[in-house]
Amino acid sequence: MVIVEAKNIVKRFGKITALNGISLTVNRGIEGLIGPNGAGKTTFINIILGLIRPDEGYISVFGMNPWRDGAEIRERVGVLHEKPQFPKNFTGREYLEIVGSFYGYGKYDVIKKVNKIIRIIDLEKFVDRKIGTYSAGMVQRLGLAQALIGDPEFVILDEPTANLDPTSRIEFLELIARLYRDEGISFLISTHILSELERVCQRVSIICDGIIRERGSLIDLTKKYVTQYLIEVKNPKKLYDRLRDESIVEKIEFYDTKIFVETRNWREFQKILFRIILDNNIEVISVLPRYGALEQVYRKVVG
Amino acid sequence: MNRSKLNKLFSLIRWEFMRNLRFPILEFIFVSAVYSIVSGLLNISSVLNVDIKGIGVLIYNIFAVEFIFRLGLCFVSKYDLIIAVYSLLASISFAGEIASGNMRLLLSYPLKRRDIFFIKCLCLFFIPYTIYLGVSLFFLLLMGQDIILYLSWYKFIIALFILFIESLYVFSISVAVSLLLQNTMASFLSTLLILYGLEKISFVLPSSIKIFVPPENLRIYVFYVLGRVFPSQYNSTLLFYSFINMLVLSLLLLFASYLYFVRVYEVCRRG
Repeated sequence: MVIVEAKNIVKRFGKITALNGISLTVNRGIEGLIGPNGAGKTTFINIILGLIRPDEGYISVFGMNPWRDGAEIRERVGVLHEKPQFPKNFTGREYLEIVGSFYGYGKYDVIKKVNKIIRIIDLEKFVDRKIGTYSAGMVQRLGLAQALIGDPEFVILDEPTANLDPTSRIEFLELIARLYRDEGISFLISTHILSELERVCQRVSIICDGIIRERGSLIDLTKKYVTQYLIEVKNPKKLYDRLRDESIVEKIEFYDTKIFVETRNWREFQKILFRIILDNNIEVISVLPRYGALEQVYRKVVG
Repeated sequence: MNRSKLNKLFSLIRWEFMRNLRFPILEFIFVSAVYSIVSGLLNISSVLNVDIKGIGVLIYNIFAVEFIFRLGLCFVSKYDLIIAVYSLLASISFAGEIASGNMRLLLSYPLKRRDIFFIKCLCLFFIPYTIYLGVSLFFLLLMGQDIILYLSWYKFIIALFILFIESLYVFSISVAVSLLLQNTMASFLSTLLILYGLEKISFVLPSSIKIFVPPENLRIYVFYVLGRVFPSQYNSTLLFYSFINMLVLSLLLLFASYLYFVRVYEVCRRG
């Protein structure tokens, strides 16, 4: 099911063109939006939410126009903005309660929802403290809680793991994957940290200079763009000697137990690799894309 | 209006109290109201240094009229305080929330922009006004029950109307400046500069123009309507038009601010 449909969206801020004819369809699932700073990710998110009006183009969210029917759309969409500025004099619970009532819930429903969300997001330890005393990780958790309090069908996360330590980052991503699996909530995640998207996203869109440069499932993009692989074996010299002579291999290096290979035809290369491994009885530890697969895709697309 | 809509509106009122009318803002408004009214009353005590219970009905009546006159005049003479109160509130609630990113949060929830604007204006305008009204009534009651019986109510309402129109004028300019500048300190200082500047400029203006500049027109109005001498160089028609001008200007500014906030205002300039 299509959630967001954007066609040729243009947005200018004075002389700067933030979005230069962006066309994108966001479906149910977990979708990633990546791009360099100033690529137009946040502008696009703000247009989806009806916070900004596009200069040109067509956009619909759940079949509605965000600028005109923003409030109706936001009944079904939750958002965690980049660097959210929650009022520091509220406690986490007070803030969640007031956000709950922004969705039109009565007093008792709000209390029930807040308690449920506190349990899901694991906020018990600090929810009754003033927000001004929260660490960056606590603020992000509160941000996710307020995005989920209205039982949204779709949640937009803008740089959700910025300022989180590695453990909190992993926990946060696991939580997102669980919410999709158990509650059926779809996500659009905008981030710089590509390894995060690899963990949870089904589809990725790469935005650069205000346009979508590439879009597809992680598997398709990997097939199309990933050319560098890391093969870890017990006796690398033997494999290195065999692979070096293959014309399909464009570049090959080895260090310690690892061999770095660059090839444009992974499918063909796989066949050759397995043949050599079996013929020479080489013990393989792992075969992986060199760097993250998405990182390679991103580098190729953005340049 | 359905229950869900009411819950949203009440939560917006709660937001205003928790976010923008928190300590010490509300306390400052209250103190300014007490100061305005008490300073007006002290003026009366110095004129009528008598035992209120020991004098006749006629004196009570005079005293009540005197009180209302003083009340009207003290609203006008405390114009500076009203400027400070409203420009502070508008700067915090509109410019402050925009600058801090709270407005972006607020607009990311299923709230209509017109409801946000309406509730903000309602709270920010009427809460100080109600505090001023409450404090005036409290001191009236404090003076004794008899005085209420002989009070010229219509004149009391006129005194409050003067406060209303004065507040509306200051409030509308404060809101417009806040939405234009979108920076707390800049909008607070600019509003003060504009309103104090206009007030000071009015001293050197010719009489025919001065009558259109607040708070001078309000001062003339207090003298005229609440039973004092009417300056010979003015006439009641001109005074009426000056009031209409003030009211129209205030409503136009508020309407323009509403249109800007609901139809034009975009949350983030850059993405």
